[in-house]
Amino acid sequence: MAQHDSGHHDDHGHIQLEYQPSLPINNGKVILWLFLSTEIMFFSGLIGTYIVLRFGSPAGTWPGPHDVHVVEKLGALNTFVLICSSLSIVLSLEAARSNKASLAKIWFGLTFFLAFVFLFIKGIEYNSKFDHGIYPQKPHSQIYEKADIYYVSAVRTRLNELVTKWQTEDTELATAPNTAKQLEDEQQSATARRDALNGMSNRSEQENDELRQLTKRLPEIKAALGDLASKTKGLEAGSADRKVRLPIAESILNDFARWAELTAATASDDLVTRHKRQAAMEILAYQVYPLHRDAHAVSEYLRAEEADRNQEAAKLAAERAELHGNATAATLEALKALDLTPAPEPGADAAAPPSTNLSPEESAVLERLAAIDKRLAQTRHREEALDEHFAVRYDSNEHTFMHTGHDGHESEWHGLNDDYHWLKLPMKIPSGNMWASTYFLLTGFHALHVVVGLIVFACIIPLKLDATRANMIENTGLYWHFVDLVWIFLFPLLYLF
Amino acid sequence: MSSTIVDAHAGEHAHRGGVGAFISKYVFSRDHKIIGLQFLFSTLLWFLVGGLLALGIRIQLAWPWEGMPVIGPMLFAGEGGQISPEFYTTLFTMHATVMIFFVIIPILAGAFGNYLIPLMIGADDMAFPTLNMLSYWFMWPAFALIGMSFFFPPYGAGGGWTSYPPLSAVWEAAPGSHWPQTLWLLGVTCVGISSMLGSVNYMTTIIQMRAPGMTMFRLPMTIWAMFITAILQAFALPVLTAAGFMQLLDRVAGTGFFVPEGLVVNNSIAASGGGQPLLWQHLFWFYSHPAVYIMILPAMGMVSDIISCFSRKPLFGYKPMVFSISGIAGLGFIVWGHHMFVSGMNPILGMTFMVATMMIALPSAVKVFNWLGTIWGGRLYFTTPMLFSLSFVSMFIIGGLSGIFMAATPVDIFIHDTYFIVAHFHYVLFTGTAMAVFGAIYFWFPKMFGRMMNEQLGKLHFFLTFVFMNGTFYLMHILGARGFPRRLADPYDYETFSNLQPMNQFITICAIGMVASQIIFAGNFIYSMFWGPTVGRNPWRANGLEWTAPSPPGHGNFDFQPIVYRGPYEYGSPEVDTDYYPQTQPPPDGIEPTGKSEHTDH
Amino acid sequence: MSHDNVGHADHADSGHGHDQSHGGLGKYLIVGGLLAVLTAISFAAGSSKTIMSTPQLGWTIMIAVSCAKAMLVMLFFMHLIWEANWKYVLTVPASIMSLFLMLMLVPDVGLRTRNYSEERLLRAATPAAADSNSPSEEAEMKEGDTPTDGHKQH
Ligand SMILES: [Cu+2]
Repeated sequence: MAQHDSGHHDDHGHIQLEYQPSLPINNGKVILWLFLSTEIMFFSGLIGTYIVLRFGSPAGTWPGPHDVHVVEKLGALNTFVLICSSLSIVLSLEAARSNKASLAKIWFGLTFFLAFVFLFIKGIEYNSKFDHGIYPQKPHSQIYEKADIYYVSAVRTRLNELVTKWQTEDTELATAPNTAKQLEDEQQSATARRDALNGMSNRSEQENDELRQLTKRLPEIKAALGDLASKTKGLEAGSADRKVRLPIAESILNDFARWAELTAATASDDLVTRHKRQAAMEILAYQVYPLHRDAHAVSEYLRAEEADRNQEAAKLAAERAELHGNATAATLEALKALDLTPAPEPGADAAAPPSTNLSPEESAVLERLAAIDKRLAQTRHREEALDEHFAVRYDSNEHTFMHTGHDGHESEWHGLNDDYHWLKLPMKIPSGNMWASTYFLLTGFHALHVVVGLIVFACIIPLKLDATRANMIENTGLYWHFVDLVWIFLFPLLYLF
Repeated sequence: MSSTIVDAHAGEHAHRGGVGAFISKYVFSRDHKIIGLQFLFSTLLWFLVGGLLALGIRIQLAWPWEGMPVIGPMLFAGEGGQISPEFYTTLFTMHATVMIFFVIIPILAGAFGNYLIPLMIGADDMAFPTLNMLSYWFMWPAFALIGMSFFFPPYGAGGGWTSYPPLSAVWEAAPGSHWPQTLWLLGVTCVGISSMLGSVNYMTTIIQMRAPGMTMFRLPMTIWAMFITAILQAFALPVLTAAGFMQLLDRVAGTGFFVPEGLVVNNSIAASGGGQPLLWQHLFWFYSHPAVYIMILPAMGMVSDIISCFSRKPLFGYKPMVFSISGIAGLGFIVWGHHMFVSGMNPILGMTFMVATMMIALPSAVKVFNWLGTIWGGRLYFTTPMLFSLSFVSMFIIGGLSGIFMAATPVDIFIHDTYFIVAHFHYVLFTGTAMAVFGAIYFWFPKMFGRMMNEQLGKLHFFLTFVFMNGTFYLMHILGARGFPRRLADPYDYETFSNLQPMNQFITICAIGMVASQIIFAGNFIYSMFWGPTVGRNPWRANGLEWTAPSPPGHGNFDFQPIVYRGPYEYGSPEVDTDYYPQTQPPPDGIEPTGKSEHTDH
Repeated sequence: MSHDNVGHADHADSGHGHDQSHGGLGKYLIVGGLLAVLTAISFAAGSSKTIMSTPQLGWTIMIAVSCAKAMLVMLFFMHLIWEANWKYVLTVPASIMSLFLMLMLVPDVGLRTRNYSEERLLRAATPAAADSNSPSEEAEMKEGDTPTDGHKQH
């Protein structure tokens, strides 16, 4: 049918065909550039997402680098590392083109090494974020968008968890010798009984049963003893830490967290109460994880709170003096007898048990006095705790809180989470989850590209990198430069903006 | 001429055993023709699955809650075979997913793109055969993942094929948004990787491996369309991949890209917040609007070739056709917002998108005009491929015109999420693309298998499909104009729609007829593959390069060096006696051959 | 982004482009040094309190520096400066598309909080229980019975 039917054979199928290429470059380079175009679109999808989410976040909420433990210097170092690796792979290509295979290999190896360095530094950075609890996580990370009742109760939950855990461990440690003793006793008697049974020449069916059970039980006891010993060892090792940490956690739980939660839960909707509630939650959030930009607002909150407290104390003191003046001797006696260490629940204030031998009026006075004393003691206690854990001075020039450490050295306040790294309390970082989402998304996909590059390098490095391999190095280099390009934009966007 | 092409290359694998040779030749083949056929068979099988899922939807809409045949007793025996509303969402989600990601896109780009590109430009294979093989094998993880999602209650993803957050981004949002939705995302990502690998390969092949003389403006429209489609895929798909990864992270890692602030699901706050559901819609449609052109441009290209061939006339306005395809593609990138008119997007953006969308009507109209111009005065052969192509053109007009309705923001606010939309995209995708695909299968079948398909059965297939599909989809316009909502398991719950049930029953009966008609096609296809009459190289007396290769072509495609002297549409040329003038035929004496080594592509 | 025109005129019709080396060690070292200096500049801009007090100024400087670095890498390390005209075909469309995509996200997503009311910002991410509209609920709140329990239960 076609004009080729005659004069051609089609049995040797594969003849070498000629083409008319449009571009004066090899196909590998064409497809690589096309692939890079798709990569450009991929990363612009990711970076575009970051940009719109970041600049579209409610004004002033996006965390600054220091709020989320981003170290600009490491980012800059990594930028430099990637630039060097780009440079070295270009030099490798130049060497390969002039057929200096060993020189090419040296430069190529350097690129390979620098890629590793990049990933290593990236690993350090990731580690510090994970360490501080900054990462998106299901069902909820340690990051809270704002200081609200959810946040405060999450802090309390975490503290409770710590306290309960350590208390249980202490109890277990205390009872361990007892348990061990019991087990040993059982072991001793069982061994004796077993030996006795073994010694018998003719055993009844029942005794046979018993022997079987004992032979089964004895290794179990041994294992249990071993477990107990190793567990006790672990508990003992932790006991020193617990001794220090438990009181701190308890104090934070009872003195700030509960105070903040209960203040936050005050049931009244007038503006003053609303303000107080917010103040309590903000102060707690600041104590745990201070954000620099909140310092001024928190200082205002603290001042207002202090004024409030003083006012209340003055009022209470006046009332107390008046009641004292009018109180009967019996009432005062009874008052002295009461235990007035502050209870964690202010609700319990009114529950001072009336002494039976007082008249109803006297009881009423006693009750009121007890309540006042308790309240005052509580306030004092909280102030002391505040001084101990949160000894800060607001520096109005720098708009920061300054904290005097145990060594008497004054430095910027970094929060309870930083002071006591084991606390790992929930943090208030507005837009923090979004920040973590985008940060890990962008750097993660970039790191993935670095890893792919590493794999390609690993495949090429055993080859002889002479002029015949120049195209291969060139194409690998193009990919690698693209990875560098992406980082060139990520560095300012993520570290410096 | 022999047709023993299959073993033309047998010597190379002679040392292999039977099974090994079979696997390397037909399973892990790097030959573009085998890969094309692999795509063709896989997609046709999924076409069947997608069609059955569609029937499930139709049965529920015609006779709600009356028990679904087969699936009902299997999955919902406890409820007497009555499907759950969640399963209904699964049905339409999976129908769309299968049809779009496993049928239309891979059958056009994967099957026909693979098979035709090297043959029509005169290359022995794709530029990177191994990559090409990978692009097929990346479909299999997708098949597996989507297949697996059918086994987690409620038996498939239920987020809609658009997978809109927050429903899809929150793990606990709804039944079917657990594992199936995650598997769905992974599956679609794999399709994306496959398409991406394919598209860069196609572009490289078309740019670099054209036969001598085959300038860019001598390429058949099919190749132009494939080229533009590849560009669309290369630029749009990575964005969807990126968005897909983000949604995946939202689901499994607790990020919050698409989860809004303070979202309460099941009486609890979603784990994270501060994201933007609208962001997903933007990123998704940034791909998925161009994707509708990925789903129709290749069909337009193939139809152009078929119409010109069977009108025995040059394609009317070849260059305007090329420019209008490019125009559609270019405009296609700036109109995605028309899917979001009621999403609460910025109104200024909505206005921009409306105007841009309306402008797409211009290049589309140019194309229709050119097809009509090609037919006008031609010597028409009403072969099966021609019938399907003519049907494509006429149905595309209906689908295109209804598109203009919804491009207009005020109208769209009324018809959004109604059956009007469903009617529109089925007119474009089924009565448009699917018909063109049928036409293309009938047209290139002789090249693929060296045998003809039966014309009588083909025509019967055409007429039945044509009648039933219009019965199915046309009435949906009326449903939609009356507000009948899509994606609702039982719209008759609303008093307003209860009188629309008879119309839905009619539609369902037509749909069943339409699916049943495909049995004729399947039978014809399978019978002809083995027992159809064998053909020579050029049964249709067409001009394209592929018709100068053996049928089916052997390894390396061409048994001679093709040299191209002219474009592919020189039908009825006065230079020769025949009414066709193959691209490789040297001009008669006295006429100077032109353009042998021209570099005039850009 | 602007493209340097140097060099493409005399290479436009060369079939092989650049099989030879172009600059040698010296040129690449200079470019590498420039890149390091530019990195230092953006680092300095980012850490300078004076500049970052007007963040827009700092951002502009840093993005400009990044674009300059990207240009250097593309032109010299990726050899685009020595390539024929195809470089525009393969780089410009992708660059335009990527900028376009980012720009199109701005009005809808980037400016989304622009029209938020103060109220909405204050209440964002805060469900009804926490904002004082239901005092009775809060008064009854006991330890272990806080609203968070609901959202911890995933
Ligand atoms: Cu669209």
